[in-house]
Amino acid sequence: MMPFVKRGGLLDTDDDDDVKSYLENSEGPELDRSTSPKQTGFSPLTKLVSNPEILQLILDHLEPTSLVSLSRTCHLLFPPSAKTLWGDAHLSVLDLFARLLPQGLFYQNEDKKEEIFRYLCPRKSDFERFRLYG
Amino acid sequence: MVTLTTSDNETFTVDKKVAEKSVLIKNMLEDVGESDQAIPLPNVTASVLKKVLEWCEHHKDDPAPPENEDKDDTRKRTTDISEWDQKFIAVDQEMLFEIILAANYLDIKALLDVGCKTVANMIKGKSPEEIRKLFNIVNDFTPEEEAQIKKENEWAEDR
Repeated sequence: MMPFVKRGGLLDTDDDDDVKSYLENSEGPELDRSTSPKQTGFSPLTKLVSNPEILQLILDHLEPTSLVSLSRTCHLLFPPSAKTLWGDAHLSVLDLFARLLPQGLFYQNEDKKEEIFRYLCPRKSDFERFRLYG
Repeated sequence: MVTLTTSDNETFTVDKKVAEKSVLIKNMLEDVGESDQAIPLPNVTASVLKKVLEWCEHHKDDPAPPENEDKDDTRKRTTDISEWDQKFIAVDQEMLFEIILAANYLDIKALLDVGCKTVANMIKGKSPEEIRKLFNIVNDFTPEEEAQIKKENEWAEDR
C-alpha cells in the first residue's frame, strides 16, 4: 500500500472524513491520542495550528530565521509563517517584493541609470507570488 | 470554594481565588452569583485540569497581566519563562498542547503565554527537517516548491 501523504502536512483530527481517509490509506496503528506522535503517525500539533489565534501567539515569539524554517515545513504552516515574517512592521518590503520578480524582467539603461525598462512580461505565477506574500 | 466538572465527569473543588485565575470561570461565577452548583468545563479533561489548577494555585497571588503588551517587546522575551514554569511545562507534547488549548478556552493569558513561548522555544534554531521530525509533520512540498520558498525568504536567514 502506498504511504498516505496528506496535502497540508497535518491531519485534521477534528474532521471525521479526514481521519477516516487517513485510516483507510495508512498502514499505521489506530489513532490513539494517549500515545506519542511517533507511534500514531499524525501530529498532535494539528489541534493547535487549527486555532489561528494560538498559532499567531507562537509565531509572534519566533525570530525571522525560525519563521523561514517553519514556513518550509509544510503547506499548512507556510502561509501563516510567511505572513508573520513579511508583516514585520520594521521591514521595508518594497525591495523584497522587487526581488520576487524573475530576473531579466527589467533592465537599466547603462548610460542613464535612472531609466528602467520592462524587458519581459510578468506571468500570472509572478503575480501570484506577490499576492501570497502581500 | 468552587466546584468544577471536567469533560470526563471528574469534579475538582478549589479555592475561589485559584479558580478565578481563569477569566472564563470568573465571569461565570459573576453571572451565576453565589451558588453551590458545579461549573461544567466540557472542553477540559481531568488530567489537563489538574495541571492547569496546579499552575493557578502557584500563581494565585500574581498581579493581573497588562492588557496591551507591545508585540516587539514580547518577541524579545521569548525565553523569559520562570524556573517554576519551565519545570511545570516540562511535559510531553500532547499534554503541552492540551494545556495551551485549555488555557485558551479558560482564558488564562499568562499560562497561554508560557505554553506558546515553550512551543516557540522548541522551534527556535531548528532546520525545517528538524521541526518536521519534532512535531511529526509530513513534508508535502515538492523539492522545487521548497527551494522556491527558501530562495524567496533567504533575506531573512541572517536577521
